[in-house]
Amino acid sequence: MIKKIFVLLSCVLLLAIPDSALAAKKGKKKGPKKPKKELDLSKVVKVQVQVTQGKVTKSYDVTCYGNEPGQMKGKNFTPMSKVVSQYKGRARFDKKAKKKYALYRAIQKAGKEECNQPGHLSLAPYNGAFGEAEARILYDRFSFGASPELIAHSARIGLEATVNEIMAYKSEPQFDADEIELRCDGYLADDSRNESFMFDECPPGNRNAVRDTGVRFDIYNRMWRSNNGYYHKLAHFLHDERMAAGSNVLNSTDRYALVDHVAMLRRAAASGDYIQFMREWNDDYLGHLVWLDGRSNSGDSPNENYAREFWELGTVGPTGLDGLPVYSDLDIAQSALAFSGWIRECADFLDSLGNEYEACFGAKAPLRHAPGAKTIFIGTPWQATVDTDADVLNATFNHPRTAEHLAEDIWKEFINPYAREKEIRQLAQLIRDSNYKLHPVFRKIMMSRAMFDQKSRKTLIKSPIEMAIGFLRHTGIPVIDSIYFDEDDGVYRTSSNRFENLEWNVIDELGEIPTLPPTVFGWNERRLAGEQWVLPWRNAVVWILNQDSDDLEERGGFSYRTRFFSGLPAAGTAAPVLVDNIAAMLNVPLTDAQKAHLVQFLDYDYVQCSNSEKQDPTKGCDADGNRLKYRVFDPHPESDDVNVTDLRGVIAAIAMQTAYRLK
Amino acid sequence: MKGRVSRRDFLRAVSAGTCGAAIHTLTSPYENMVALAQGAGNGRVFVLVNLAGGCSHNIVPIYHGAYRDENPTISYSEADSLPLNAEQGLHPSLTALKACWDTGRLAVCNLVGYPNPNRSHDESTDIWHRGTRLMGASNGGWGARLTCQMNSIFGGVSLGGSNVLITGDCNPPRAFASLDQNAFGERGISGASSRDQAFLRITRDQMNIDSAPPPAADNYWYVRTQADNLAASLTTIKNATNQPLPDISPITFPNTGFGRACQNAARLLQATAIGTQFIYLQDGGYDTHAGERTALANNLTRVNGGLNALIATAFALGRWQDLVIVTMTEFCRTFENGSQGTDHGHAGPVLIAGGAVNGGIYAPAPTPAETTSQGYYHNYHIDFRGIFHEVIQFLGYDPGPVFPEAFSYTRLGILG
Repeated sequence: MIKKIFVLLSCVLLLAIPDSALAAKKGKKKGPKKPKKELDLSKVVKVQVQVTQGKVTKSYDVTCYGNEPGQMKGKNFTPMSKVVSQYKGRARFDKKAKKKYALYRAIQKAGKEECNQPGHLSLAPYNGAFGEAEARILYDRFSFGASPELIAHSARIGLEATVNEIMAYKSEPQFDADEIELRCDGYLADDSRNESFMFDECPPGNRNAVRDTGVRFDIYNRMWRSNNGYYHKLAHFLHDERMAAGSNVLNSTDRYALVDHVAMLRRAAASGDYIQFMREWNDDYLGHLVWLDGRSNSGDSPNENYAREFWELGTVGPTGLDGLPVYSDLDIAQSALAFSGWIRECADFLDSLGNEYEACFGAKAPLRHAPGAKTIFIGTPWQATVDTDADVLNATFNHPRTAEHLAEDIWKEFINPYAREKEIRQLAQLIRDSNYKLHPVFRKIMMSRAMFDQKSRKTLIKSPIEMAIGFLRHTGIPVIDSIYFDEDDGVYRTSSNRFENLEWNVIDELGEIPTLPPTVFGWNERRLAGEQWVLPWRNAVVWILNQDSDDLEERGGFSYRTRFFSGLPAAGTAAPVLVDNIAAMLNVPLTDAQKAHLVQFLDYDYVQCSNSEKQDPTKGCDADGNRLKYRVFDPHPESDDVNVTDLRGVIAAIAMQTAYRLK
Repeated sequence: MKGRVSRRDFLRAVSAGTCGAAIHTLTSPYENMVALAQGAGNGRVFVLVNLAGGCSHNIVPIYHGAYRDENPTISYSEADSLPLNAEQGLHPSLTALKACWDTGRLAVCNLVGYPNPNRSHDESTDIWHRGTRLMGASNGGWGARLTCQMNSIFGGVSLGGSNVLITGDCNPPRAFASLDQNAFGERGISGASSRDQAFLRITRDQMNIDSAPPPAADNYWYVRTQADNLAASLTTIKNATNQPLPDISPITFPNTGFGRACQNAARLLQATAIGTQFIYLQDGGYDTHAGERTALANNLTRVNGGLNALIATAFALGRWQDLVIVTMTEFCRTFENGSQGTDHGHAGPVLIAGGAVNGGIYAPAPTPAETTSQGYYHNYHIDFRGIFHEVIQFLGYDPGPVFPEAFSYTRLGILG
């Protein structure tokens, strides 16, 4: 007891000594004040950590300096170890200090982990250099690629301004007008075939005056030419990576449903509100009621197709991070009952010309709904009693797996394939913190260390749509209409327009036609990068390049010479610069040896050897009897057309490299 | 640039390689192609037909009154199906397999599945394709683990696309959209002479050789491998399979995707020199949640047409004894739902046809006691890996490394 009192008194005395006295005591050993070492700002990273105390979890800002967690005040960095040590002694007898000590210790621990997080797994803000290479990463992942001019502009304005530009929605009146034209019959107003079909097939006021090809053409049009690449990319992500629905199940009375479905995807992309997106899926005629059979799901004869995919693909996913099932077959059966109660109703309508047409819709039919309470997520902490689809939605978005499953898809689609359980939980928390509003989440991702870390680069396989549309956007080469001369009328007419050409010769060949997914799972990018799809890509690239260059100039406003040869140095030194420009444009890093092969292709002809040359081993004839002949590449306007042919060969060779398939 | 010796060497080497004349010293995708294409297997060929989406009603349980009651529009009677015995029959579209049954060369296994079944397409397909639940994604599928044991680089060929089943790091099956020359003819740059085209191809091949080494085991590595595999295999398989098939008239290969795939399978069967022993085919559209009767009839008619011509070709080539055809599907389906379709179930049927097959029913049709209230079978009688064990042994390979996970199975003696 005496010993205890002694210790306590010592502590009190120690605390009673004024700081100045201690300082004076210590001051004896101190020399003149050393000037403070300036912080190396490239080592400063701001991160957020989550700390749980009792039942409360809170986020705290921590600054990492190197691997050391701490706090920044102005330009001063204080390590957490120092903050913690200030409270360590007092924590033994001061309740407040004890609390603070525990909190700062927890922050220090979490901060240490966060500060040691490898860059490719860190969502902390990126503060490295932002140049053209980084701008290409953003545009390839969050849009469908960008022209060299846009990339150069982004590099000039920096990361934050680039992200602001990418995420700023620009109104699209021309595309909206084109959409009405295209979805009616697949043709644009300036398409010669438009005149003859316009009034036959698109009577105003007829909602089913829709061609699914036209709806797709509108999608291509916006992906390819709009400045809202981010929003169209996000809509495609929701279409492909979550629950995919196909228009091939619609008949003529239901065609409008495809337009509604695409509009739903675009609304979701515009708002970024994932909860609202799934709420709208529950009422979607194409997706829920036709594609996933909701119209035949009744209380007395359930069809569980939609209920299963709503969870498996749209929300919680089949298994948790622990590998265990998230829901049971019984849960699905119960959920299907909650979703039941829809019916398909058809009626006759009049279009604005007074013509009758039939259209069918989904309608709630209370008598087909299974009455009474249903229980889902049975036996789990998220068990819920539900009756309707709205109840299932609410219970599902209360389940932690919904954000985690979304985080898994976002991470592997936009960041890299390496996320572990920890990163998924962290991103899921961000999603929950933003109440499933995706834009703030994507903004953070776009500006994160993981986005630009060397280990993240070229790790994601592009989808065929990204490959095809990206090629057009990177190079600026358009796809143009094919036309023929109508001798009877003495005018040129369109035989296939630019969108038909794009779909038939490029997109269809690559295996990914939007709105026609193979299954509800969407497209498998890995499969579509498989051996059997290598050749179709090569042929698609060559098809784009094989469009007549005079036609491209006359009707597409595109000139290979202007695009690729402007600003090149004189013949003899132009080839390496051209190769570098194209490689940068397509974001394909080349080795020196690869560049040398392409320069050789440009600067040499491959000619047949004469008989005497074949006999002479010094002439370099190969087994096929051909040899190289120097012929300098001359990009200047007076040189003949061969240069453009060679140029197209170089573009094709670079686009066929493995690196082009990755982003 | 003129003095780049490796370029000339490469040109010579490629020319020699593409003529199939010599084995050269350069490391290129063409190296040893002809030699590598020659298999030393026992000549037996396994054709796996995946009925993707969950197809169980290729088998018709006829005499279960309760079954008929529960499935008023999609079930068949004895009279309008192809009876196998007093219990059950085949779907009426499957006449080719019925002919195999009649000659004692069709084995029927009911309730084939795996422990702790999963009713998700994705997960169940994944289990069927990987053959295990233990391995991580990087270990690929059992089809690739099988062809890993084969000497020929064409030991396995997929004519049904790329998927996990044929994914692996060691001699995985090659996937081809078609074996027709026109179908994989590469488009040339317009305006370029044929010599310029050749120069461009050579330049591209050189670029592949001189590209930076890909990081191991990630998507970059995967994509690069796919391109290399294609480059290496196109010419060889084209030349090896371009002989005309024997006349099997009046039977013809249907002009459908599956029909053409079967025709290509027949060409591989004929091209014994390249040693193909595993051929993967796939037909889709079996996720019949609605309107099953019509959809299934269309689907199985398509499959029957292709298999009928393939079997006829095998007879014409004298290879029927060497051929074994196995159907698989990820799960069976439930009783009929409200839209004349069916939902996802558990264990389903597997059919095995071939000249060496000991015909018969190897696991009985499910009884009402084995059926849940939702109308799917909660039990399974045979682990699917056991059936493939027997097939792999028939091909002369070791099933152990193909299915390393322990499972319960009693040998059935279907083959041999």
